[in-house]
Amino acid sequence: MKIEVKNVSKEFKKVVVLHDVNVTFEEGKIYGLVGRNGSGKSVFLKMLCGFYTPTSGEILYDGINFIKEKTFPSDTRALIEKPDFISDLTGYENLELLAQIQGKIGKEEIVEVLKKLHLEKDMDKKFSKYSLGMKQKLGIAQVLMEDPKVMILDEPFNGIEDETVEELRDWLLEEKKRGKIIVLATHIKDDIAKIVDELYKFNGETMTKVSLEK
Amino acid sequence: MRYVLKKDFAQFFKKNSKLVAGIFVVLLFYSIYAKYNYDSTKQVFVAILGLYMDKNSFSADMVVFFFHIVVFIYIVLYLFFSMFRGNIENLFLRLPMKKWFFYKQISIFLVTILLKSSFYIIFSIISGYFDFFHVLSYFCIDVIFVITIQELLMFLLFLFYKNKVFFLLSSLFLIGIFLIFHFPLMVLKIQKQYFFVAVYAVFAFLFFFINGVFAKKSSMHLFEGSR
Repeated sequence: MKIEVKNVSKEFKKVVVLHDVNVTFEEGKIYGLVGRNGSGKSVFLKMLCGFYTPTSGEILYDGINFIKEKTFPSDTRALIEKPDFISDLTGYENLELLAQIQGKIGKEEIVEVLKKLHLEKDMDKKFSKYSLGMKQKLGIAQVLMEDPKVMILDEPFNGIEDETVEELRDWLLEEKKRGKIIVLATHIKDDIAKIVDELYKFNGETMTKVSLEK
Repeated sequence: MRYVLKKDFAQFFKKNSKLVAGIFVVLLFYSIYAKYNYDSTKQVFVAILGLYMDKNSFSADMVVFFFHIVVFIYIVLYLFFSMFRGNIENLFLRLPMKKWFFYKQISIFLVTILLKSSFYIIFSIISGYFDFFHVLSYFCIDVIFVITIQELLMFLLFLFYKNKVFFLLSSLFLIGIFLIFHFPLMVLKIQKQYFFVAVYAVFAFLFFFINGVFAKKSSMHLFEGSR
């Protein structure tokens, strides 16, 4: 699988947010996107998901332009900006409701993901009672639980304790070996520098490749 | 569908509980006013529900009529935009836009029915008007009318995000149609105008399908417009 971003530019009310972005995401790799807050990372990720239309250029998933076809990419899951769930339901109930939409997985897979993220003890707590870190973990859980081919995570390690961050990094490396395309965006380069194969920096309106010093 | 319904019901009634209570309080106060101004229980009942208007109608009746419309327009606006707040990716990477729109319609319909039926039960008791078949007939006509207005509003919302000029022209045209046809209909007493009610129902279905097409074709306009 391959995602090609070709000459993509984005303007909002004549304000240029991104200009002439070119990048190809291939399976079995982790891609890092870094840039300060407001640099256009989230806008770029929303275009990858098909929520925003590029002002010019195109985004192709295996040659298919989802935006042109007025649909969203299949087998892609994302966490963009802060996680948001139904506050009166428990963490587990929220994931169960989302999983029921496509019916790909059941209770077992949901609990497994929650265990990996050390959320199993809190899965029966209401989302409104969750701490910032727990909310973030639940957001990551909804991305991972259905084993998607493409995973897009914006500031994935926000508020999560170091131990779990390390485990998550290892998990993402495992997923990479299984042929997934993983796109991680953050404003702190060190968060992801250890695990990414390619790193891109959002600077002004452009996105440039950064060399990795491992 | 369960996700859309649960999210809408949880959000709407939790975040608008004070507002819903306030609506009932306003109508309760108006019921006292109506009891003093009208002779029959039937008149009191239809006046509280904003359906009473004749040539000698009080201006307060007109205020209540618009109050009811504003309440149900608010429901559409609130529920329609609720999904664009927060994580759109949770839902829309799992559910096609067309299906989402269909589920959203059901959700808006159910919230509308729930509130309307609460109004009818409570104000039937308060006004002392218990003619079941008349109450049911008012209820059906009222729901069809409200749903037509809601579908029209959604149509205008799609236009607003797609083309502002076309939105403005269509809004003026539809408001004009409403003032020319609906008000005389109300004056002639709504419960006898089955032909017009059927026309409303046809319009509601028509706009339902047009909105469904718009939802699929202009999802990006909605996402970008709501940012």
